[in-house]
Amino acid sequence: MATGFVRNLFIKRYLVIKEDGLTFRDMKLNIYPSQSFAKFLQKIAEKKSEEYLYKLGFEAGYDSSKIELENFGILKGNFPFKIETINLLLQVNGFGILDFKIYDPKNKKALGHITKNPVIEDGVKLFKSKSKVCSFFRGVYSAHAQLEFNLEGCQLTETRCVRNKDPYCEWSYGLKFEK
Amino acid sequence: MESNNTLNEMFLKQMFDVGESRVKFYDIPFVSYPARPMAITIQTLSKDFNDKELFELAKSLGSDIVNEISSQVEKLRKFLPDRLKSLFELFQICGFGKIGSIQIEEKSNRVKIFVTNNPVIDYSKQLYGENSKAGNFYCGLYSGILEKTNNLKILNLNKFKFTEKEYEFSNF
Repeated sequence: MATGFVRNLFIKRYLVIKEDGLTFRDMKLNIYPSQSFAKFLQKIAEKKSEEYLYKLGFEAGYDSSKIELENFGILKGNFPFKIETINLLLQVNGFGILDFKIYDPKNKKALGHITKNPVIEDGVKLFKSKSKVCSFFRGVYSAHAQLEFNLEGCQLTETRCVRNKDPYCEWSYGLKFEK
Repeated sequence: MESNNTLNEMFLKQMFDVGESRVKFYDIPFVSYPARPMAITIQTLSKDFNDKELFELAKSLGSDIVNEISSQVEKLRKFLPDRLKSLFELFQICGFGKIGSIQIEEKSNRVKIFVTNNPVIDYSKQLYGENSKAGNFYCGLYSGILEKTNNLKILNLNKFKFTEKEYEFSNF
């Protein structure tokens, strides 16, 4: 994992305030306080569905991922710290920490734990077990997994979730679990 | 760093708590959403939410953002003599555009604002041209923000005009 020192350097180098807001390298960002954003996502899911929110997250994640690949050409390669670097980008964006427990792109299998996502945490604080906001981020991560983690066709499914009092959200791909 | 004022400096120094792997403004964690995907999200939402629903969704977001941030700005009052100006600077840093001038006729409750540097609207115009729905979304967002920041009873900005460099939002 990237150390705090490396992370600091990385962030200081690329995060800049410009006239149209915060930018990360050349990526123009909108930033939202986590609780407000959790309420926003919950309203969308309540009006439509969790599946809808997942698709919205996937669409946003797909375009974000394309921008990252345009801006950070190094991510296209297969260098040793690729996963850590992508993880770092996701962390800086406030999407939490992804800890891969299984990562097997050859056999299209993966399982990861997500922690410290402030929006998911606020969703659970606000809506308890009725929180639906993690679906959005599951969509975001599925898109990043397809484009950046080389997990072709990846659509993550939820196997554990903080809204059910699990210590993390667990998302997987290509694995079967007994119910 | 191109912007150079007290709040921005404080913001930059305090905002990024790398130890906890999250973007923070004092005690408030933030999530970032690149502007281009946000433009795409708004357009997708506009296919499934009618104009009124999209407006209300954005208005609640604006109102919630003010509630969440202003308590923190309040705590910093002694460093930030002009609370309203500070809030608007924060919104600009958040990527919601630079709210340049606000015209309020209190008697008739007529409000007109001029905004520049909103990257989501810029992308939306590039991607969708005249079919862009970002104007409707920001009518809602700015209505939610201004209702709270300027203590307006009910504000529903429902008209917008985009020119090359400036966006105009009003309720008349």
